[in-house]
Amino acid sequence: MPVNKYDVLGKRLDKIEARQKATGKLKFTGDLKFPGMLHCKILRSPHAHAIVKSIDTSEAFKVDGVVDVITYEDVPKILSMHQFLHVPEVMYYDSYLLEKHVRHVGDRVAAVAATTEEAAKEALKKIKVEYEILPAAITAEDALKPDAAQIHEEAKRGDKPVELKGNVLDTCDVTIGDVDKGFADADYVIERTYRTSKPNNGQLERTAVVCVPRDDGRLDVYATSQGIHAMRMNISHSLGIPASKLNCHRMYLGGTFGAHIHTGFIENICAFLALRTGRPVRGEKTREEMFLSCGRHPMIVKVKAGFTKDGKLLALHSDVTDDTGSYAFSGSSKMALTAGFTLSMYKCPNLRITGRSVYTNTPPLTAMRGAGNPQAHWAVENMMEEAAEDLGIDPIELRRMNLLQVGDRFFGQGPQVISTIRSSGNDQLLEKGKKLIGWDEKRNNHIPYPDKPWIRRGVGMARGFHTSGCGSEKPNAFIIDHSCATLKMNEDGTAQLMNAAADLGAGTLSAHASLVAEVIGLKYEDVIVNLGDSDSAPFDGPTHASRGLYGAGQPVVKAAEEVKQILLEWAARMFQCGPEDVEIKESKVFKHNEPENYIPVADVVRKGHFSGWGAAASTASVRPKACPPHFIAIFVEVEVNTLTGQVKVVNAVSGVDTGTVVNLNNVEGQMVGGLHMGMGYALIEDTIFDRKTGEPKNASFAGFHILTVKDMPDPDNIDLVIADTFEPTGPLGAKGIGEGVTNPVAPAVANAIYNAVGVRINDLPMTQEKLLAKIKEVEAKMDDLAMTQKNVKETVRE
Amino acid sequence: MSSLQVLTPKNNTELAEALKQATPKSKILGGGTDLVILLNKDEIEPDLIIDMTANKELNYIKEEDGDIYIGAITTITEIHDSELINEKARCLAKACEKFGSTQIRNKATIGGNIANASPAGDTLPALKALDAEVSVINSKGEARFLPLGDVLAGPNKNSLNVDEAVIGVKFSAHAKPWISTFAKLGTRTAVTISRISLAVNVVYDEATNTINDAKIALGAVGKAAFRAAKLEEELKGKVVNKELRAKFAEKLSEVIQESIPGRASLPYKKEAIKGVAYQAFEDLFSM
Ligand SMILES: Cc1cc2nc3c(=O)[nH]c(=O)nc-3n(C[C@H](O)[C@H](O)[C@H](O)COP(=O)(O)OP(=O)(O)OC[C@H]3O[C@@H](n4cnc5c(N)ncnc54)[C@H](O)[C@@H]3O)c2cc1C
Repeated sequence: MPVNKYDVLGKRLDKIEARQKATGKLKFTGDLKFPGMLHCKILRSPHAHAIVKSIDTSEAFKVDGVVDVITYEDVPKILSMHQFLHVPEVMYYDSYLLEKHVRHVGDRVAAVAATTEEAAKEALKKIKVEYEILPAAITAEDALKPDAAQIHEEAKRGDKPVELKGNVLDTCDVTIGDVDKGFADADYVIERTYRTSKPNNGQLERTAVVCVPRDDGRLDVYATSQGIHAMRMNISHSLGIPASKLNCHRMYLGGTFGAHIHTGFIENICAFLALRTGRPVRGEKTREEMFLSCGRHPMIVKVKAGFTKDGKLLALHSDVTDDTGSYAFSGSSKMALTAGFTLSMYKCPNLRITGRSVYTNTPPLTAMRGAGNPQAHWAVENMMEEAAEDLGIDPIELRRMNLLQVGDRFFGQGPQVISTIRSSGNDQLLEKGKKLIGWDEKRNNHIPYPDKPWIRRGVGMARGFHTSGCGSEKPNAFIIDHSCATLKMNEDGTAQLMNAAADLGAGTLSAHASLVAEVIGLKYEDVIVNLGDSDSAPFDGPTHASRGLYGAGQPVVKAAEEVKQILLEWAARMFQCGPEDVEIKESKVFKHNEPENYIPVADVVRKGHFSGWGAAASTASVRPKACPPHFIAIFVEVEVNTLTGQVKVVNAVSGVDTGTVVNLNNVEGQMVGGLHMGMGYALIEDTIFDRKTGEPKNASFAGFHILTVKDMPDPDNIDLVIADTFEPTGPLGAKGIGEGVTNPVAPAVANAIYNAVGVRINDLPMTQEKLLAKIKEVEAKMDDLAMTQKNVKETVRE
Repeated sequence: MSSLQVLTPKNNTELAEALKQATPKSKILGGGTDLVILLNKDEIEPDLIIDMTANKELNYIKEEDGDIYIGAITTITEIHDSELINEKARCLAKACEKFGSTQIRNKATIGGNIANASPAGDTLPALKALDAEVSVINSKGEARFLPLGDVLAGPNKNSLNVDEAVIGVKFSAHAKPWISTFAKLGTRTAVTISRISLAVNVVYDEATNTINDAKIALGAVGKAAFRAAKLEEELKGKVVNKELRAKFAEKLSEVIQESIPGRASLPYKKEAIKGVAYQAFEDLFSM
């Protein structure tokens, strides 16, 4: 852990809400209750693709307690989108609140509001629906077939209608440099196809919302959302009401991993029902509904790379087929991102990305920790390992010699979001990781237990990055990246922050409090962060793309600097000196070198406020000018049971280059959590849908397994390495961390498995079945080889 | 919404009374770790639930005249922690070790595991390898013993009548020279339903390093847990060594191929069983 010069940053501090959470006092969205509150339940399609021919709600209305029942006939005829984080012009508007044309098992057919949840459920059973079943396409390959049924008949990109031919909603083709020449000049070209799976975000807190009509005719919205302004835009658009009619409240979140980056329909539906009935309406998805409304995009990623014989990367072409599910919640951005992130994995003069984003009759997918980047890493970092072997270069060395360096151009969110790298801990991470995992000793040592030769060990690594936010040197026409913060001092010397960034559970708001404390010189406990709402907080983009600290933290620092300046000037008046002569530390103001002769900050604020000097307050607004990569290197040692295909990660090193550490607890939490999530992606996580009917096969935690703590390496066997770096564009030198820490984990595990047993699985997850089948294949080949050699020997002898 | 009655008999007499009211829709409740899930999913709509867990007469683990008796509401944790079970029916204790999570083990009952009759129920191969018999009571208060195999009627189906409940299970104590173990394979290390489970219960003569008798049962590779009778015969009189281990693994693989022909999971399971077999041998014979 690097040492820094800060008083507050870098320490282990409790999250500001930790005690409330630990004692169960903190109210999450699902805990909220209001007088007269109704409960909303949604009738969901049992078919993957169908037209509602008729729907009869009359019996449902007769159920005791039922107040309202709505179908597609009742909802606004407004095509809507659900993820307000890209600029509206690139987003796809392709859904209504309730559909006549249903496009996946679990799609929304009708909604009920009733006085109890039981009554609402009962009413669902009473709705009679006649469906005309259409042929369905469950995978991208099936949806791309010429005779595949058309999943969408209408959609708009921005406000322009899109002409949909087949199920491809968008394509991309971008070239930088001269790729043909690059491949022609290359001594070695490798081409591979990789596939990724469809894990569910699986966060603890399910989507919940309560919409409460106000006396002034407006609506209070309490919801699990990663961005109160984005949510306000989504709901106001889909309901056709002005944004100011809605007040979206910031809530603490019980994890999201991207599941709440979009509105998942239930929020908009509850808002609509609340306005219709004039009563508070609450909705909360079941776990099964969570499985039917979000997840990571499965991709087919083809990479072609050309190297010189010394290992210099000359050309790279990535081609991405992106399955977006039944609605384009993220527009076509995941295609652009997966392809686009491959541009910045390594330094390469000639680059091309191509891709297509495809609708399928499966639940709509979304960002999930890494937003397209785990898929990019899976392809590139598997490929690099194979290339290293073919080229006869140590895999770490091959990576090291192709690293992007400080001063190089960086595509943070695909080719449109360009900035310059200003800090890099790559070399530190590779060097330390290599040593800590025992690379040199272990690469050729595979039998840990001589009496159990069927257990084999191997070490592997992968590296990469994630962007910290979406800022670019010039404003871009792809993604919104802008943050604001208001900070004011209270008369007891506490500072109060009002902003709109979401705390996904990672401690973002605590990090903001740390920044305020550090900048002004306050005690950490003296900073209060209002949860607030969209009525009172200035605009902010949602918290995604690892931008909660890096992006949303920048105006916090700026506002704190401005407030500090006010306090210094007031203190200077009190001390009868210049503002440059005083300093603030631990909530006390004093002249340099005279700490014993201090005035509490509270006294300064009171003096200023009561003397009419003004208000110690400031609002700052920042458009980040960069999205610095937080670099990551993951090293793992695995144990593979060649009899069962079981893989156990026994040792791991997670190395991050996150710039200044703001709160060590939170950074370490992300590192270990990221490792865990990446291991699950590597080994078991996938949601399965019947290829014909589109029926979910494992839409529950009983069927969809997440690794447990028992699957993790022993805590003593996890090394956490934090590079000593400072990001000049970041708030007090900080960068992001949340997504990078998962991105390279799956390929690191794959590369370790390859080292252990000589087997590669190119499609995620690397299940016991797939591994065992491959291991048996290789063993059979070896047996054949041994047989042939034996026969040859015997023939020779004869 | 139909109405639901819950009865909480405090003893076997009250239990028999309660069973009189049972209809085909009624359900018996143990720890609820299977039943409550079905209730929440609206997959069942019972008219009556008979909660077994207040009937403390059914919470025991005891040995009498060479037989071990376990009451129906005894939890998986209690069985796992029992010295008697660890000494004289170790495979059952081992089956309880990797069962679900701590929370599940604290709630789940052996009666529930038996009555639920899941092909993957972890205590079932162990009980099979102990030749267990299940004690059943009816609404007249009559109790009878049935071989475990007769209770397991199919995947998640038991053969009990509407007015019957499991009140316990018994098997003969398997003290030394019997030694036994249980091994399972799931998709993750913990909180995982068995994809393959194996109980091995053998008479082992340490002096000659020989197996003199064997009871081998498999789970999750058929409609219900079952014994590998032929293999048991083949093990008798065999010296324990690496060759035997390899042969044991091969034979188990054959057993699985006969048990689930054509099943999608067969290619994996027929190989992976070997790893489970090796695990069992390692635990029993430290090899
Ligand atoms: C997270 C999780 C993990 C699990 N892991 C495992 C595991 O590793 N291994 C495993 O084997 N199982 C596992 N299970 C399944 C379950 O815990 C077991 O089957 C358990 O033994 C059921 O016991 P119970 O007392 O909870 O039964 P209940 O849920 O109360 O009942 C189960 C069934 O048996 C009937 N029943 C219960 N008691 C009696 C009785 N005395 N007489 C007649 N009928 C009765 C009920 O009507 C019901 O049909 C798991 C379940 C969960 C939720």
